Amino acid sequence: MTNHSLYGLSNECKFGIRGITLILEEFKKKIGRLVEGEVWDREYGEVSIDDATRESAQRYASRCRCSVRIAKGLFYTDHEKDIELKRLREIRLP
Amino acid sequence: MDRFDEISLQRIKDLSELYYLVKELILYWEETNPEQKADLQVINELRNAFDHLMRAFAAKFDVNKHEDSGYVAGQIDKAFGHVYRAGYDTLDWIGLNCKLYISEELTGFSNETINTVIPQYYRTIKPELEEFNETFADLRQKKDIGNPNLENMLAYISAVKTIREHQKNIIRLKPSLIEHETKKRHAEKKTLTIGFVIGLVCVIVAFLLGFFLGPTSNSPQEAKSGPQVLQNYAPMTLQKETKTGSNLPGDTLGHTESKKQLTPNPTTK
Repeated sequence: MTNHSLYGLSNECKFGIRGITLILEEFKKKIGRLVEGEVWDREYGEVSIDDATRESAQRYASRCRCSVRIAKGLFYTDHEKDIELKRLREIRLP
Repeated sequence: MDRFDEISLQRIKDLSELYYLVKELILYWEETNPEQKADLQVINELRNAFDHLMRAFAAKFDVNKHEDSGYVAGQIDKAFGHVYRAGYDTLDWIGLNCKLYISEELTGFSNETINTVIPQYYRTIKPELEEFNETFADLRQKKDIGNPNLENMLAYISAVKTIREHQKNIIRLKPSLIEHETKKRHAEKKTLTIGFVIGLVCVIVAFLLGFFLGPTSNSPQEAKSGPQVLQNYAPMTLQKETKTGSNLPGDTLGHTESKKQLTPNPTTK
């Protein structure tokens, strides 16, 4: 069981959905916010995948858990994807 | 905690079914992708779908309070749209790779061989594949995935499965294709050889006929200089500024007339 007192929160409201909601509210008040605006309504940012992304993924693969393909850099960058799709579209059947 | 209303429950059920189909597609794509590469944009779509799904749960469990009664159903619809988009992108990849695979398998075989061994290729397989890829190319160009619903996705998956069956058939018929093409090439080579031999025989016969039945000369001079008929057809040369007139008998004025004319080559007479 999580010891909420570690985070400076009361240990009384830890049971049930309502309890967790209270913890969240208390957390927001005491710890503060990392980002501006309502988190629930914010979209994730656009993902741009390029050679730098591949390099980073391979460099930091040992530090975090991810799929083998990503760790090995086996994914298409946006540019590679465009080129590959174009090449495949231009193939003519006999 | 309130229960999900009937509409939301139905949408969650649809989403679960769609996710099952899309997951199968993604797994198939990962297994068959010749480059063994992942498409991170597909994974990104699933991440966004998860985000919308969690918003719906948060609203339902009052973690994020919403007065709007349609909020939950709306978020589930958005999640559905993202999963649909992931499936659509994967289908596009699969369709194009099927085309690549079939094209590579049939490269080197003549149209006649393909038509003989796989009669349904030009009738059904090729048109179906072209139509499938054109549909996806159009949708991609419009940046629109159409109306995201389960029926459309099922129709696309059904088309992909048919194409996959065609692909398997082509692999199964590859030995017959090779056999037919080899026989065809042998037959062509044979026809070419026979044609060459017939042509050669004709030339030899013509030469022999010319040698034995051609005109014979009696006089030694004719035999030396060639037949008279040939002499009359000596090559014609274009002579520039030939002086005529003064050399002609009866030209008393002795004027010269410059003109270009074709005359028989005097050396040949």
